[in-house]
Amino acid sequence: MFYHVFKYRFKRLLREKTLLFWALLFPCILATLFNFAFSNFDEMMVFRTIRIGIVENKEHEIKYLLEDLEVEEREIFSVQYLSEEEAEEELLAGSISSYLVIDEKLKLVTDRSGYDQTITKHVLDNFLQASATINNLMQRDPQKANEILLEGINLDKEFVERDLQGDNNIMLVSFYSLIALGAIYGGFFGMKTINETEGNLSAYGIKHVIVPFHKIKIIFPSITVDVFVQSMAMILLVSYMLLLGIDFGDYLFFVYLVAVFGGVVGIVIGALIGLSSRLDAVKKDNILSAVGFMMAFLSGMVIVNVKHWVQSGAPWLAQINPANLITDSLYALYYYETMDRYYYNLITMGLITIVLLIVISVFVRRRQYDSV
Amino acid sequence: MNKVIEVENLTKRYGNLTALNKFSFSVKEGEIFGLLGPNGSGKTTAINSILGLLKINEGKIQIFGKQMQPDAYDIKKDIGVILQNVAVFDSLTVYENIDYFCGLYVANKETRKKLVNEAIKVVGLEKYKTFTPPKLSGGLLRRLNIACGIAHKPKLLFLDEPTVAVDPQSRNNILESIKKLNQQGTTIIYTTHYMEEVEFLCDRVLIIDHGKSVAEGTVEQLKKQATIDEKIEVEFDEIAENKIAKIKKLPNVKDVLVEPQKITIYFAKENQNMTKLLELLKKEDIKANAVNLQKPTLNDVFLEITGRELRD
Repeated sequence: MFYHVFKYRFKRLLREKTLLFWALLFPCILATLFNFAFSNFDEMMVFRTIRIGIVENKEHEIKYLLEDLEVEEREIFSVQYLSEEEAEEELLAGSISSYLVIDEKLKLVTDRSGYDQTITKHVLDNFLQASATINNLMQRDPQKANEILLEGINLDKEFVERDLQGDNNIMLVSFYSLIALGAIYGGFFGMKTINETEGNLSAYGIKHVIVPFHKIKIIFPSITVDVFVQSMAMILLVSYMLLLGIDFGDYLFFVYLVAVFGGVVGIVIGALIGLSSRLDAVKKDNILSAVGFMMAFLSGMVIVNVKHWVQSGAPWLAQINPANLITDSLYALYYYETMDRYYYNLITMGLITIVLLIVISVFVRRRQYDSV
Repeated sequence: MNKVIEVENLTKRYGNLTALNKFSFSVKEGEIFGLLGPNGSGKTTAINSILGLLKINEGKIQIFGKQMQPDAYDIKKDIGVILQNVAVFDSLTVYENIDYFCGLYVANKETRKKLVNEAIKVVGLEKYKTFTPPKLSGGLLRRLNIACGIAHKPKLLFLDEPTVAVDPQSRNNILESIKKLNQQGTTIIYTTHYMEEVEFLCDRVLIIDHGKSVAEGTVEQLKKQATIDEKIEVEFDEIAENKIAKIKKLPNVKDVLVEPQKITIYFAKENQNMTKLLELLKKEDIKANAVNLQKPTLNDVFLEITGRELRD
């Protein structure tokens, strides 16, 4: 029975052009459009060296950071040491974008807002944040802090550079969100399977409920096909992005893994939406489209900062949004040295899948309905 | 003959609405049993309850002498269902569709191949084996729907309005196919809106209204229950109101239906109704283009019992 249902479900999926378009081609088309849009964006975002002044009233390590900081082997700042009066004149003349007064406290002075000023302020904020982290570590675990210092690792600089590079590569988050969107749209497969196997949802469902065995014997091979085809779709999408030149870092296997696993989560979400009401299939398709898009939006697909706003403002939402977990996993793979955050996200997705499957199984176990 | 289906006091409620109210009937082996009723009368609810799809509130359902349960798979293997809504897959060919649904009952590939080809032959789709449903006409699609439900050779077959929106050629084919299946030993439960189909097919008929059985018997037995004996249609170019009033006053007239250029007169059981009508037409100098005498149809019986047209 498994093979019989599997064979025909597979044949049907391969022949259903609309479904294949949304699952396979649509994300690839979006990726192409994103790539086209971001190729210009990337050119705009290429760093030019920012000219700043330093008024040094007191010795402070930040000046070394500003002198050394570079992204992709390009210096970020060109530093001039000036008196406060000179700095004011240079600022008025526009030959520097801002100047930093190093005193008991650090003070950034500028007379306008712009990209250079934003970057400078951003670097300063991150330096202060990283310094605070190191100081805390010194107090809590001096041995560990000493080890880090002895190894000569300049955490402040790494932190800031990585963060800046992150800004420079914000388009990556959009591509990650697109992978997440593709994964959630795997829900169309799961929804279709449920629609065809529940007696109260369609005439196909009635036919599948009156057979001489439990409908789970139809659902299981059908979902297996869904997972297979969706996995292929996700592998195709990631591979296509690689062809477009998107840099996923060094852990490609794990990129594919999270994309495929995300696709499974998508199928489960689609199945749950399919079971949740007796609306017709078209309306449910629209609901899934909207849910998928909203999840991807909240994970930064359209406006990258939305991801950060959600993470800081409503972290619980970020933790239960599978699209965010997918983008965050990919983000962690690219930017972090350890795999902890990646595995944490993967495990969270696993838990979400298990919870949803438990809810689904309660419905799917039904063999009779109040109405059909 | 053995009873294939036995339903006793079946009650199904949807909230405050009672769809079936202590509904009872039985179907004998080898019969074609017609289930008639206006829309909303409870026909489909009855079928879905018998199939074990619906949770029922009260009653007992036995099929092949066994209690029907959702997990009564030994019963389900011998049941076929053809639904009013066509449920075939657009991306599979005619052959593949039938093979898929047949395969849910018959595992052996060789046996299945034979059964699928037989089903294709029964519904006359030999020329269309490789066609996909979107390329079939409405009638051919209905035939495919039937083939999907009969390929595994069920002993008991439910057909829920299988000829809705079907061209005459396909309808004849479908009705002949059903007869053929019945002759091969399949017991059939048939619901339809078309009285002529019931008269052509069914050995026995049950009329259901408001979730209750209101009449049951053979077509002839039901016709005998009618108080109308004759129905005479008279066609005119025109007729005055006072003349219609005189026709209504004829003895034994139960009802007169007036339509443009035609009246239908329903007579109670009595001799010489036609003679009396013709005498009146001559006396009043009413020029009739045609006068047709008809015996009451099942539809007339249905109207008398339920007060509603079957196509309501």
